[in-house]
Amino acid sequence: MAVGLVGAGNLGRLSRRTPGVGGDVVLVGLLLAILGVLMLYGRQVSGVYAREVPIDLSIGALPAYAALSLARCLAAFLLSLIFTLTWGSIAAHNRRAERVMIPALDILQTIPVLSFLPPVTLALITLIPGSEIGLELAAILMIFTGQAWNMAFGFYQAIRSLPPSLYEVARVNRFGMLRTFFRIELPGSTLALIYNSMMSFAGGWFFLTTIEMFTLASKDFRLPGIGSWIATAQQSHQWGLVGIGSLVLIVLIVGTDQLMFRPLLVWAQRFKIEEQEGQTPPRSWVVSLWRASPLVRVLRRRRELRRRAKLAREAATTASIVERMKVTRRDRSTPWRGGRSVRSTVRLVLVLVVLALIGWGLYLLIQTVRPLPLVAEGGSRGWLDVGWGLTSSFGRVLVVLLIGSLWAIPVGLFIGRSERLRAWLGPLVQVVASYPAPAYFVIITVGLGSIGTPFWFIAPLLMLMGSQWYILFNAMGGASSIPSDLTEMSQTYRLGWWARLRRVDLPAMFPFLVTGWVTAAGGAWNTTIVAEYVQTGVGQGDVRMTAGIGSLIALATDQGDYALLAASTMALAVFVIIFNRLVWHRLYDLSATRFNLQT
Amino acid sequence: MNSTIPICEVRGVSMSFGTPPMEVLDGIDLDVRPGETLAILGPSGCGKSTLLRILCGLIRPTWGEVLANGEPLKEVHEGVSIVFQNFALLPWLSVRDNVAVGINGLGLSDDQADRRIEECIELVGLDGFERAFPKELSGGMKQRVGIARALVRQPQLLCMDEPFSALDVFTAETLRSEVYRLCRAEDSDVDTPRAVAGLHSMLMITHIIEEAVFLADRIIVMSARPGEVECVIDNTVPHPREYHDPAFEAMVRRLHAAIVAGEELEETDQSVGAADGRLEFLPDVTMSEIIGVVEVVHDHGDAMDLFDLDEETEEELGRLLSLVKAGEMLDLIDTRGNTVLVTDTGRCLLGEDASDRRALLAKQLRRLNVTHWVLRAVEQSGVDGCDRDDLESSLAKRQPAVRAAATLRALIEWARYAELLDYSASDELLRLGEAGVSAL
Repeated sequence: MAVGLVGAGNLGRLSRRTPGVGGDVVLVGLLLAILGVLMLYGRQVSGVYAREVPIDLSIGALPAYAALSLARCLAAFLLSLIFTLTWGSIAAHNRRAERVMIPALDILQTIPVLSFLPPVTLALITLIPGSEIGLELAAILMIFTGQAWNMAFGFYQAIRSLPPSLYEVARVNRFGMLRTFFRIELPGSTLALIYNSMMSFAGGWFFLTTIEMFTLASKDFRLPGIGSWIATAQQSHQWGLVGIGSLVLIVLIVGTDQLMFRPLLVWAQRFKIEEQEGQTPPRSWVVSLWRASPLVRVLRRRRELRRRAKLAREAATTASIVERMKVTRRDRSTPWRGGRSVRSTVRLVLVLVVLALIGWGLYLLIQTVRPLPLVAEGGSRGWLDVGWGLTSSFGRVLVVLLIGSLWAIPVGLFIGRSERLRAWLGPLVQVVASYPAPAYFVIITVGLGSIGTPFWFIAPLLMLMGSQWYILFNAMGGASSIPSDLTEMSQTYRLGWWARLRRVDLPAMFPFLVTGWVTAAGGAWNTTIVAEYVQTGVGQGDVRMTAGIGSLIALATDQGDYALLAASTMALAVFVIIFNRLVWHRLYDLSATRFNLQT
Repeated sequence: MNSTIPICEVRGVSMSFGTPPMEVLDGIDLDVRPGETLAILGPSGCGKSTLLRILCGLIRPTWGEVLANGEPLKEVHEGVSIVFQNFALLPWLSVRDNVAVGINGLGLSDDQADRRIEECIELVGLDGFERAFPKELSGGMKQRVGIARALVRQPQLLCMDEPFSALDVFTAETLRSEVYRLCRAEDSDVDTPRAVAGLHSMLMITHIIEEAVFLADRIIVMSARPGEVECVIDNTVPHPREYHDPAFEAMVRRLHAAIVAGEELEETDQSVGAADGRLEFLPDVTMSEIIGVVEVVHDHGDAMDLFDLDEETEEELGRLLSLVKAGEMLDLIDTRGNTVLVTDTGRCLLGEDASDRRALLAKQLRRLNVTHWVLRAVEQSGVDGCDRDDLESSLAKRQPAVRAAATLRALIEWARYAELLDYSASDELLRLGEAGVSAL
């Protein structure tokens, strides 16, 4: 239930830390400026970018591909962890920085990362030409952007919710900044960090495979890895290999969870600050295996024997308590803080530099977008197409949310209410949710296409496949968090199923549902780029597409139409941010106030 | 309706939870008669809330029969409403809408429903708050909403699950007297609050003796682990009831005595350090609490009446009895009738410094068979340490499961205090402590 819990926890703070429109404009400006700079490099990729990546479809090559994918995921995760620890602790300690850093996370979290894939990839290919490193960096960067914001946010929140008395202990005992971090903040937030890491890492698989198999009709951005292996097998219609590849992918997903995160979680229980009754502590078979292993037992036995010998010695000499508790104390002088005028000058210069950079980036962006006509002429596309694409993709996202809610909320409610079902299906749904659905888009498109299903029907179906699990997952979490006395109340007062759903269950689940919808919508937007434009075979003509912002981005990248690429990416980012502000934030506010059960 | 048929009745009801099954209720017989106010009085953990939920049909017992108005209860009892300990209000509905939830499904016309809702809101003193949301209200006002919601369906039986225990002392007192006013049957006067609310019978769960005596016509005393009916007492205190009325105080003492007798009855089946090696049951209390009781009695001249001790410590009587019993098992305390005495060992303990205190406690603990049994088990498992779950399940072969869990929990706590055992909660392993190594 990590997703649900973390999600509901985010609500209160998120809405309270929202700055005014001014802050938003600066942040969005910065983002668009980055897009502009990306385009500067991207535009230099010649329209005839050609690169062949032979993917070896033999079984023997599979372990190596799996290892490559795992390495990318781990590298991105490490990067995210470093980012999290620095960004999170700076934001938690510096009031001024906090006011910019936290809303920035919020905006970055809402942007469909994959829409930036083409510009980032193109830019990095030019920046580091003639090698795979640019592509590799792009992949790692993309996974990083899918992981880091959520982790940083969770870490920041965990630090902020540490009991103030712990900081008082640190001050009374004259802890320095580093000591406070390692003795208090890091241990105190370890559990939250691990929960968020589990989610982020699982999400990383989704991005990784999508990036690895990214191809356009004339451009091949594939990277050797498990994702491209499955995709290539599909495009050459070798269905048996697709099955084997999927199996390996499941092993990877479940394996990292079981071998890496579960044991960590069990170990981290010692950092729990307050005990909550009635919650069973997490268990891990790996940890049990470890504890039962003969080697570990030998080590432990030796430690125990040493301890006993020491006890016997101590019993003989009767060491005094005072001696055992020798306290070493270190005094720290307060750090130099610099003069007021110097600091304000530095700040002014910094602000000017940032503004100049934003201006330059925006100029680059405008330069790129300017050739785009309002109305399409001939074979090219214009602003009207961008608007239409955005509208139709938005429609698809809404349909996906609606259909997802219609089935996933009742099912989630059913599963979440029963403790036994939850224990069985919870981990399964978790795996399914982190399983990259885009890996099967080709199969589904070809399969449904062969029985005459139109692609405008298939595209939203593909988007649904990737995003509905978030709604289910959160509905389960929400249902399990309905207080038992409310359930008993609705039974004794004999509420019918509809009254109960409307009056008790749905409102009680509301905060979780909002989190589910936000994540599902994010997932759906992300998938547009691979769901609205599907490369069904190896040939140039084997492309199925439908009008949408995702297919426009894909098409623009394929044709080297940088004006269209920049315009589409920009339009999507701005639209999503505005929608987030206008709709999701209001719902977050509602769940923190009206639908808050903690009163 | 025949007025002699009980509204709710359970026969031979037992309930156990979890694996291995933990018995929380054992062979309960109980009925709620029309027109009466019944209180179920018992220490925390005696399963009284579970019993209430079984009577209402919210949960099924593992064993036994549940009847509603003479018929076997199939689902939720039609004539009950519940006032919950933590209110169970819907934060997204206004006070009025929360109360209206109670009237759901009665098939009243809108006018009738509106009138009844208004009456009930007025009855509990919430007029003027109809449009407020629960989060604007204090705890006392929230519980008034809970009561109004329960009354609005004119239940055959109004169940109250520790309705005042989430409130502060003064608010609880106010609400208690209002409920008293509400539930008192005053002849056939049609204007009494009880008549307005259409109230028939009441069932309340409490752990406070005075509360039961104040409100109930009949009091059922329960004991814990597993929950059993100790005795049923008719409350003969005349109305209107006052706390300092001699009849009231006599009834409180009688209930005290009944609870103590129930605890003593259990005690007779175990003697400390019996030669046949029977393993003692330990009460689930901590060592600091036990020493605290010894200190209090010591401060009052080493002898104290049990009821005075109860008043002085403001401890729930059942728990106080557990503490006294634990003190007795360690020979720190002795009881004669209702007088609690500090033993020589107890006085000695209070005079010692920390490390001598531990040594003395270790010595006292070794008087118990169960200590020896556990120390031996831990020693036998060698330097690997002894798994707590394994120990508990083998102890459960020699004691009832409920007892074994509590006994082991208490013993680990006491033995850690005395450094007989060393326990690591993260891997749930027990090892011998400093005093334990030298003891064996």
